[in-house]
Amino acid sequence: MEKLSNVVSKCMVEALKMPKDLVYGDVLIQISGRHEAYIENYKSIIEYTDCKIRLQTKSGKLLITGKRLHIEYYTGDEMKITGYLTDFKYE
Amino acid sequence: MRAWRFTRIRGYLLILIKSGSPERFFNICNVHQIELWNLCNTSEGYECYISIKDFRRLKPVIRKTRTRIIIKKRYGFPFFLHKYRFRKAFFVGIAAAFVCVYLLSLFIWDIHIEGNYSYTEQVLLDYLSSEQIVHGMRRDQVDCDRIEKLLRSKYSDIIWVSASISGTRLMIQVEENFNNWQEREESGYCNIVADKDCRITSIVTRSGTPLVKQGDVVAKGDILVSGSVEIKDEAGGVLRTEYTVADADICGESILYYEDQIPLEGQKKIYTGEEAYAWSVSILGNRLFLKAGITGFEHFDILTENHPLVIGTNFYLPFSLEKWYYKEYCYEQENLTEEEAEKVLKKNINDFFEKLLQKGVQIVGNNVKIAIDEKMGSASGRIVVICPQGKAVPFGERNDTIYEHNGNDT
Repeated sequence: MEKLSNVVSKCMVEALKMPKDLVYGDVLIQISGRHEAYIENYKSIIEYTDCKIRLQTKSGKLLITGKRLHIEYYTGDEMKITGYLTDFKYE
Repeated sequence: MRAWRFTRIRGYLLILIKSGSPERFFNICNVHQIELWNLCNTSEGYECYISIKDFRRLKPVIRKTRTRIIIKKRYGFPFFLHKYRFRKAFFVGIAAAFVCVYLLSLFIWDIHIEGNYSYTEQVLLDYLSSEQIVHGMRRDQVDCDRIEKLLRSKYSDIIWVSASISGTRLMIQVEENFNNWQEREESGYCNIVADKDCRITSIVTRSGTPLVKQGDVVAKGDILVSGSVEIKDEAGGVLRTEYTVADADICGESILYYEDQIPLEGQKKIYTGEEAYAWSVSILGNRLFLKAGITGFEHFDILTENHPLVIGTNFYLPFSLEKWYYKEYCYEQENLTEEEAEKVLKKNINDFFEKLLQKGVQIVGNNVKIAIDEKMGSASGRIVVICPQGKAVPFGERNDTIYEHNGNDT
């Protein structure tokens, strides 16, 4: 059974219509076609190669696969990935 | 993301990261707020860009993650300065050039006059020069109002003047009076007197008392319209005399005497086709010839093309490039035949008539005869014209002497 605090926070978020990424720290992904993706609210990079990028988020891991993956910029707040994107998978 | 906007000024590097755990390196950079961009995986390792400031903070991260960093390229202004550190004089020269251009922009280097017909540009420039308005004077010393007053007062034919400064150019626009009347003094009354002997063909008086009528023959100096107006009572007696500026349109028929001569034997100027060129540079009024062009011509014409240095349209600088053309000519004996001489004389007569027509003169009679002998061709005769007559003369200059008509005054 979920903790009481989790239930209460869920009800408050629903009732007050608060943004979930701010409250739960969910990862935000904004994808433009198959060539660009903006990722926010991640913790760190676990793995980075030419064809996959694995990120650690608050609620798990995010695996991005593709070809010629290139990190356009990478800061503590957000990162931009370009290349030929094929998969976005939560682990 | 802010860093990339200013990195060109502050400088940045392309580095190659070789590490056993590159992801750990990236995460630690993130924690230390060291920004990396354009990160890509290559066969040699990971390449990315980093600013100089952040690169200097990499040392503890490199030690911690046992990473090897290789600088592949350097970009930005700090590296540009380091590269040309032995070329300071070049940049000082560029700065000095800008300072010189600014200092030169504080002076007037070109005086441009427009709208002048009777007076040549050189005449006006010479007068302005006598009033200390010259090329090379300071812009803040130019008084446009004073220039306008000077020109209007000096030249009575100039009725409107506008002076303005544009860049390093002093622009002067003038407008001349094309009427036959002389400028009347506003403070005095005047009569209209005949300026030549003529027979009045039409007179339309606007102000003043006309003393002549259509058909009268007048002599030079006769009063045509008087500026004094007699106010009479009902009985015809003069109550008082009032004075005004006489104004009327008067046309009269007068005689012009035409004479022209050309020799039948003469020398004609013929260009040989030989030309030479020379170049010179003018700096602050001083001329320096770069290449002399005279090659022993006995007779030659000189034409000069002047190309001043201008930035934009009105920023003239006191430097100009001049090209000198020398065209050689020689004299050849030329003998005109009677037909050719007659043709030239007729052309001259027609040109004279053209000029009269442009001035609004109507030609009603032509008695010019052409005579050609062995050595000379001549054209002479009388031309009867109808043209505006009369000139305004202030009361103080009135002259009551009657001139006798002798047929020679025109």
